[in-house]
Amino acid sequence: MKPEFREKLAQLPFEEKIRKVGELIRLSQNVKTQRTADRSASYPQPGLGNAQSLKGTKAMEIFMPERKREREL
Amino acid sequence: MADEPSGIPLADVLRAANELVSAGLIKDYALGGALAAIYYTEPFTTYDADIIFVASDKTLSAGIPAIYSHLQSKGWRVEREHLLIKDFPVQFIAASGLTEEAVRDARGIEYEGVPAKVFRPEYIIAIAASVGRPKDLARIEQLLEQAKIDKPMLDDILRRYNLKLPTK
Repeated sequence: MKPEFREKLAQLPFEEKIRKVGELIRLSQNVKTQRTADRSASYPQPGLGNAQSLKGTKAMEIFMPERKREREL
Repeated sequence: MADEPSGIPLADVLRAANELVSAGLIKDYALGGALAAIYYTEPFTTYDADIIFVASDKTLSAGIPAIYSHLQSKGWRVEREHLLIKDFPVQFIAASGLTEEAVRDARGIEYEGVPAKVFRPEYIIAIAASVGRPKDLARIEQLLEQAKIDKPMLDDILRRYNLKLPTK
């Protein structure tokens, strides 16, 4: 992750950053709900194994996923 | 959680903390912990808010029963060490020593029109250095990278509290 993008996020107004944290929490809860549903359905989901939790996830990874894709290419 | 647009009812939390000051239940307070760090850094996931307060009642309980009772009367719920507002957990922590100094020297802000105080980054770093969990060390690194740090002020705090920054 490029430091300049992270710094750009750090410069956002506090209200906007708190809104993004709220979105991160919602996404994290969705991942957990999905995992619980998958477990109770007993269907193995190979792709979800790495998704365990978004705790500590930085907004850059969520809100600028295209950067991650660019890096992977 | 949340009928507020952000999903985190931080304005309600700060409003409640201001009410506690007005009611004389606490002398002063500031936002600490991860949300204080986010004031200076990129956003990251956290699941609670920490309100660090200077107690009016200097007994062992620091007036916490009265604070809980006041907030419960306003519709807050208690769940283990947290008070919940709109399902969002908030911890009220009595300040002492370094954290008390951090509250007294905190930066005045306005959040969605609500006046509040937030720890200065130099104090967030010093407190993280004193706690020293992996997430605290990550917070120090992030603040040193992304926040404007008053280096002489940080050095002075670290020296007075006999703290050291982790070496990479």
